[in-house]
Amino acid sequence: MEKTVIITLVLICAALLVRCLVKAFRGETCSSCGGGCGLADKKNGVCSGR
Amino acid sequence: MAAKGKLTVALAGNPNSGKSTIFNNLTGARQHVGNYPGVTVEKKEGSVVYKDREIVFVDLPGTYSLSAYSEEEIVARDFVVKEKPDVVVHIVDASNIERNLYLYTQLQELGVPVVLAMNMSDVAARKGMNIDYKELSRLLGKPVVPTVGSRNWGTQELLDTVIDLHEEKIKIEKIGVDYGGEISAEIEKLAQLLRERSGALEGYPLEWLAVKLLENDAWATGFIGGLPGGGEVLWQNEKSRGHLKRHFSDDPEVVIADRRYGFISGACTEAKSYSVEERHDLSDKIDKVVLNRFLGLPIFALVMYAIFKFTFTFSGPVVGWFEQFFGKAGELASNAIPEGLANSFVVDGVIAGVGGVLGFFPLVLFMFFAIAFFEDSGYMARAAFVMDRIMHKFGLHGKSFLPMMISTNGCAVPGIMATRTLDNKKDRLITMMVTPFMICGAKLPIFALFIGAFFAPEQGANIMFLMYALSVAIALGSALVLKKAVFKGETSHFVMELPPYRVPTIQGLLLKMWERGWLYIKKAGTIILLISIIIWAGFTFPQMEPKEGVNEETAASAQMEQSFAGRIGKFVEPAVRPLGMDWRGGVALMAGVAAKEVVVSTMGTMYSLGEVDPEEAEPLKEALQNDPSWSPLKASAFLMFCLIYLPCFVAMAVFYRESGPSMKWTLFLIFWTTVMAWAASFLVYQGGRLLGIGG
Repeated sequence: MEKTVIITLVLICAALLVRCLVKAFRGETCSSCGGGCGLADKKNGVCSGR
Repeated sequence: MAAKGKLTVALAGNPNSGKSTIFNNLTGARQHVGNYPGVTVEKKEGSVVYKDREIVFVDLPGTYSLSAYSEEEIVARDFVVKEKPDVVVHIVDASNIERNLYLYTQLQELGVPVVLAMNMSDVAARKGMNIDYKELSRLLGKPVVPTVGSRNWGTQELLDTVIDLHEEKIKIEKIGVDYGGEISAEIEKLAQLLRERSGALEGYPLEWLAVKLLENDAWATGFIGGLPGGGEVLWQNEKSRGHLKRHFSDDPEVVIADRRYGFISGACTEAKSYSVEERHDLSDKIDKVVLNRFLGLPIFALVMYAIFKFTFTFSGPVVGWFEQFFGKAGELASNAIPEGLANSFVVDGVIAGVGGVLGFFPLVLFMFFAIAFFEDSGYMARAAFVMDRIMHKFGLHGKSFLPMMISTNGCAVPGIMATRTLDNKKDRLITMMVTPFMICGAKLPIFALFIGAFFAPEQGANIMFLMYALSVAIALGSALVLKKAVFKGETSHFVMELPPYRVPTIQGLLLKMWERGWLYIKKAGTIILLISIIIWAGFTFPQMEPKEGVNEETAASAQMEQSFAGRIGKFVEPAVRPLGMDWRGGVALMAGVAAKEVVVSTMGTMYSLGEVDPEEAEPLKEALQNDPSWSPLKASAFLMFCLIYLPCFVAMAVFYRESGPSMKWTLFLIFWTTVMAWAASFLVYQGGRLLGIGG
């Protein structure tokens, strides 16, 4: 049971990560890098390249 | 008779710039005087037939700017926007070039074809000014013609240039004032709202109107307020102005004017020796030292060293507290959750992974604070200027250094995107290729961890500075190689903005530090958390039954080696072995491609999984110190690899998009950075061994 829950969690994390990477390729940079660039345009979530 | 079409040319300029003299030289006796409709402002018109063309010159009223401060300014502006002259000749008093060019910054925002007539060039020369008109033309992207109105010099060249520009024999470039991220974002918000009402804007350019609104221009607010739905735009304008006022602790119109003068200062510093307005006098005095040919670079190096010294000195104890906190959290979680997969998931995956990255949060905050101080003071713009001279030697220019600095100040992603300011595609590609070499915020925890583990605390700032200098040297060296071997061609010219110096406000610094710091936490809590969990799973599965008679430590180590991640690590081990790393270094480096902080979180997870007794768990730094498979030399080779090797996945995705999108250049980037990283790391490790520095 414990193993099933953990593996499900890991799979969810993997799916979320893949979603992030797909978003990065689509150009929705800041939401995909988690805002890591530190300079994201917070309103529309797209990096303005500042 | 004029065989070709009629040409309308407007003459704009400051009062006393010699505009009327030039007008008379151009039109001779063929002129008439009237009034602009509805106002008492005088309107002078005249014509000339030149090279089979009838050219009608309209002498606009003399103005210092195109704001709504006077009737003259409104008349001049409306003529340019509504009558749409074919060419605008901006008459500039060359002996007072900086103040005169303020009008130019506004004319070019209106998007009209402009020729600059540098009048009174003889007076400028007598004053000892040496103006490089060709350089000025390249910097502003517009034709520049020196004239002396009083002696009728340059009139024919001016006419030729006007016709050539109209016939598109001369190309103009759109090089405008860079208002900086905060202001540009607000301009874009307003322009977006205006775009929805573009039908009623009577031909006024959107961005120009947006700037005017931010400047609180009375005419612009009245005009927009009168449009259907204008209230919404004015509401946003109030919001934007309020935000900018809080951010800069100054009125937006003052900051905008500063940016324009910064643009002018930059152009004039490159094209001549100068002194701007009185408010810029102090800046000029400081610049004489800071931008000095011989002192500029050492001062820049000193500033960077000061940033690292400040960061390492003051963040050290706080980083220690954070490490203790996460160590305690791991211990508590370990005691609270029954032993098993769930326990390992929380302690080794989540806490050790994310905690390893968050432990360096204070260091990142201190670093961002120090950088924000030099940014807000206006020094960082000078740093790019200082680097400009050096960059030219490497086939680039200071403008290419800005993306590198953005990368250092935060992340390679906005750094790569900032290369959009470079029009020359080759320059842009080279800059994009070398920007990821800089030490971004995500690489910082890796350096902090290894420097802390393998070098004396007082050496921290020195090593970090050395790494920073190395990153710049590698970026420049790469640029030179790429320029010579791959992207041959001439370097284009740009204006480097030099805003006046300011005393940064504490509020502004804290705000900037927190904005960037918060995003670091956000990234640790989202993407780093996801990756840490996946890395943990990679080391945990498939699970093997421990052999009988084997102690726990050996069993844990065997489990990791047999795991998915361990097998991948073993597969890449032959490639990293000559660099002094074992399979674990290889796994950390591979994981770091997802995000550079993950190198640290992977190390955290690996060493946490290797711990047998949670009560005796040691901080990651100490775990590394006590691991005999590491040494200062191996750590140096590892850091060298981290410094150079391929950027994180998001940065690569952005590179792919911004380079075309081009898979060819993206693959080249991957190949180039990997080969460089391997070669440099190999040199450090094997070279160190040969010199007997360590094994």
